[in-house]
Amino acid sequence: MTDPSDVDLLRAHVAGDADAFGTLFARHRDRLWAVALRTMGSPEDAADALQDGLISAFRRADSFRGDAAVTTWLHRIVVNACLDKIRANKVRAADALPDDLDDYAGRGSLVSATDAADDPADLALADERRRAVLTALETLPADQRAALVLVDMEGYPVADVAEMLDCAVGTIKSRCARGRAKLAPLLGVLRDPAEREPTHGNPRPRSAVPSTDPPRGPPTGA
Amino acid sequence: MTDDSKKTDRILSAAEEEAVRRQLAAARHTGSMPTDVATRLDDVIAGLQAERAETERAETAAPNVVPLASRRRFRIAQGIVAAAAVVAVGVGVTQVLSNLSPGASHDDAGGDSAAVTSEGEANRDDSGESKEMPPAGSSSPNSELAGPRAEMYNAAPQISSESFQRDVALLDPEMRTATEDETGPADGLTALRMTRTCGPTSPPAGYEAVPVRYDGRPAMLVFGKVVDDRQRVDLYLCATGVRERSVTIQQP
Repeated sequence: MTDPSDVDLLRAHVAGDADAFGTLFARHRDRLWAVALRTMGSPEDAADALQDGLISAFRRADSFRGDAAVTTWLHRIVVNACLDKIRANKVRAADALPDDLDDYAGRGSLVSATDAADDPADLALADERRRAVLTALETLPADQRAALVLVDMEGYPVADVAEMLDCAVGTIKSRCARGRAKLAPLLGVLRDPAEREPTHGNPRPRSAVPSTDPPRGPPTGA
Repeated sequence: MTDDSKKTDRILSAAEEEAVRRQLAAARHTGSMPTDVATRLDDVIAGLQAERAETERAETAAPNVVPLASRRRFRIAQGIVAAAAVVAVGVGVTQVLSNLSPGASHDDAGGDSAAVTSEGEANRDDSGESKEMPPAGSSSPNSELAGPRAEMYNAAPQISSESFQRDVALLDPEMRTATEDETGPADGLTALRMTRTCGPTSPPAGYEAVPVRYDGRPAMLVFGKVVDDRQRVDLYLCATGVRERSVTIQQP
């Protein structure tokens, strides 16, 4: 007997099945946790936001129309809960840094398996880089952060992310582009050529005169 | 415009964009949800399920009630609740006065227990009818409670599910970090009584329980210990006794 599909579970939940929602959530909770964690930055805030999203999904299950995949619907609810929480946190001074590396590094599977996993020095370097990325991510506006977490970190197609965040595909592309542009200098990607280590190949030419063109607008074509 | 802002305004080359994307992908969280978070969320789902089952039971039971009998029972219940309220308030006032008086003895635990018991019994007697008490269209905030407990919740702060975190954070700091010494014996007594009759258990030392109305429903906020200027707050619904929501707030 095959496992029930996500849609089947959600319908069973709406119909009164006491176990269906728990089964559905268990299927997707690790990925939802990853999204919440990276969007919120701290495990405490991620857990709170995920709980809010969970409650919302439980109660609004009958609003699922089947236009998108159940997992897309779940992500949308959780990401919206994260964004709501980020907005609420702005009321107070936010000083949360991504501290999940410290809190959860000893729990087994946080660090992805790499060839360098056995080398403590390489592992430390990888952790340092990861921490730098998470700290830089914190500086982005919430909507850009959420888009980058879903597209670049989690690898969801832009079209799916557009559904999750309830906006146009072009908007997601724009948010990602602006977010990456802001992250680039923070991650050392935009070092001045003079600061760069010698590399093979031709260096990028530096423009002699600053451009006076207006900023490029969103794409107008399909 | 600073150099940094010029840098962030520029359009990345394909190679630069790819470098950023690569670093983002490498920072992806690949672990499982921590066990404590998974357990907490499983508890929430169980609580939601219990709440839904309770609601469904109430809805299916409602059409079977004969209106006249209901009204008659309602009047009887009202009488019981009123009597219990008089007794409980009387006991409470006596205790407050005895606590406030110099040299008051601390042997009032039995009295408190008696008051709690009578409230609990009053509530149990009336629990089957309480949902029928408010007339159609009204939304009595304490339809899940009755008698003295309902009175106490009338004055409780309002917490909305829509703005849960903000409402909790805006609660009077003295209220959420109160100790018995700071608030006086009456408040401490009230909190203890509330926790016994509406909530999980008496909060352990260092925790504080605050009765609130959550979307109009009687509930209990349990404030945890402050760790690194952060404080965990759990909300328990009186109707189910299970944790409904949690939030971590920053201490001002």
